[in-house]
Amino acid sequence: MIPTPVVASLFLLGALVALLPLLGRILKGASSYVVQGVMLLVALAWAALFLDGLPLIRGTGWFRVDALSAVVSMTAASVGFLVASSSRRLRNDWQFQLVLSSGVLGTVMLASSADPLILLVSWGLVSVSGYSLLALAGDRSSLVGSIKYAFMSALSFQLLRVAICLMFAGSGNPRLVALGAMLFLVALGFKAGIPPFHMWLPDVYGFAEPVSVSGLSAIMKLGALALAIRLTEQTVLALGQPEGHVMVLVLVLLSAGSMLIGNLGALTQDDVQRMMAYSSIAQVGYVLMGISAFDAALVYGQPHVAYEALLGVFLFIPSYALSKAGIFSMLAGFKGRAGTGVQALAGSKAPESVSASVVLLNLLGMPPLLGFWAKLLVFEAAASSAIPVFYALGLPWYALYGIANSAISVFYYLKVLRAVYSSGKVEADHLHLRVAELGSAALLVLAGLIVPLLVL
Amino acid sequence: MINSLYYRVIVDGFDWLSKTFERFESQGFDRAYNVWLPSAFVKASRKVRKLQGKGSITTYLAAMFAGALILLLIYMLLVIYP
Repeated sequence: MIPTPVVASLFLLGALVALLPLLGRILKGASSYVVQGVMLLVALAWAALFLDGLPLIRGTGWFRVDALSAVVSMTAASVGFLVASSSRRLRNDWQFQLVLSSGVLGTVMLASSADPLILLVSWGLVSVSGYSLLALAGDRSSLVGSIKYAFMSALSFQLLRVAICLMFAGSGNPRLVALGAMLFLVALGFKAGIPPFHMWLPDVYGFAEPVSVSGLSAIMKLGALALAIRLTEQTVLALGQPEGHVMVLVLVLLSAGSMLIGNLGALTQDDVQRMMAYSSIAQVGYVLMGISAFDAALVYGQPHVAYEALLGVFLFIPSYALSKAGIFSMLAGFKGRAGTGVQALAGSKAPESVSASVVLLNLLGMPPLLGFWAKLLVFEAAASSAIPVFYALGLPWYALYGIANSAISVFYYLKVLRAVYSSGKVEADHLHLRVAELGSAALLVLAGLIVPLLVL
Repeated sequence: MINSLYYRVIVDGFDWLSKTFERFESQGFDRAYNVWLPSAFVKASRKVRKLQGKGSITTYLAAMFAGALILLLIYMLLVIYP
């Protein structure tokens, strides 16, 4: 039985997607307010369920209402609310709202559904929304990015189809399940930008219209990450001890590669938008670290470590999404955005400076912001002595590797922060972007203060 | 004689030790931390960005096939023929 708030939120999102082509023509610029209203209601419906008490992750049923689906749906709707306000600077506003709403609907479905057909449809909906968001910006860089993203999405969709067939049809055969899981990881690698499947990401996030990128990076990845948590959990439990280790090993490799390539790529980058594109790769690496720690804890039968790792991932998802929505919306306010050099940020106004500081420090993992608690829990789970694969020569190498990568990221995040506070001419045009910037910063601070009281 | 021995052993000895430590600290540790380590990371960073290339889809596909091949090799070596 699906709870009423969930049915209501799905109905609202579905009705919004169906009616926006009509409403958009009538309301024109005001359609974003309707979208924001619906997003707020969806976020509140899931928040009410979440506060009422949900299991962390549910193993049965075709539609799973659990803490995982609630966190992803709340985050997608909240970020949708923020990004909808930024889109008012674009010409084709209502089309953007329509595509954004479809993306949020796809993400909510992807986070909750366990039915193979609905998974495929939701993945497709999120992919189409992703490249439509880019194409709607209309400039050459965004169009090129949209074509590249569409091409890679089509490939990843085919791989996902084969993976889901193998995983669901071959559920009695561990080898087929393992092969399906490997192919799923390749498809996930494309969607989430995990090396070596990440090559499209710096080119698309780095050059396209930042408002579109804020929606693409902050919403469209979330469903895929939720699906990764569910499918890898099922795979590890189905495979048992020897094959389950292989799954953990592959996740650890992908996570380590993601953190290193993302942070090294951003280190010498002067263009802030491209720097943030590489930072997205690194951030997904930390999420994968949490997922691998969760799966490893399941393989070794350590429920406390699994809980800690999953909690870390639950905090990382909103932390990442809100930060990316905030920073890309901020970048959209600067003229000459294709070359958004660090110096372009110099002399930013006080509210923008404060929100940029909050978002950058959150990505860095500075207390008391949400990103700090997320990193703390993920690193703690990765340093657990109960999981031998995370230890070498008596040292928790995996957690130390994550901390070293965080240390590398300090250099480039602080470079941007220094530029924000250095003197210079203000070139920003923040007419419609303040809601996204300030809203994301406020939510990060608020969540950072509330989280330790609620869950730690 | 005691005075000469004191100066040769204690004063000169500690003077040598201090200079050696200072040389190690400024030219060894300090240089490694402030020059060698950052330059190694900068080189690695440039290498990563060079590998990224100029955004051609051929590069994306090559990386994809390489990645998928590695995953399938891991699968074959550790699951099929462990």
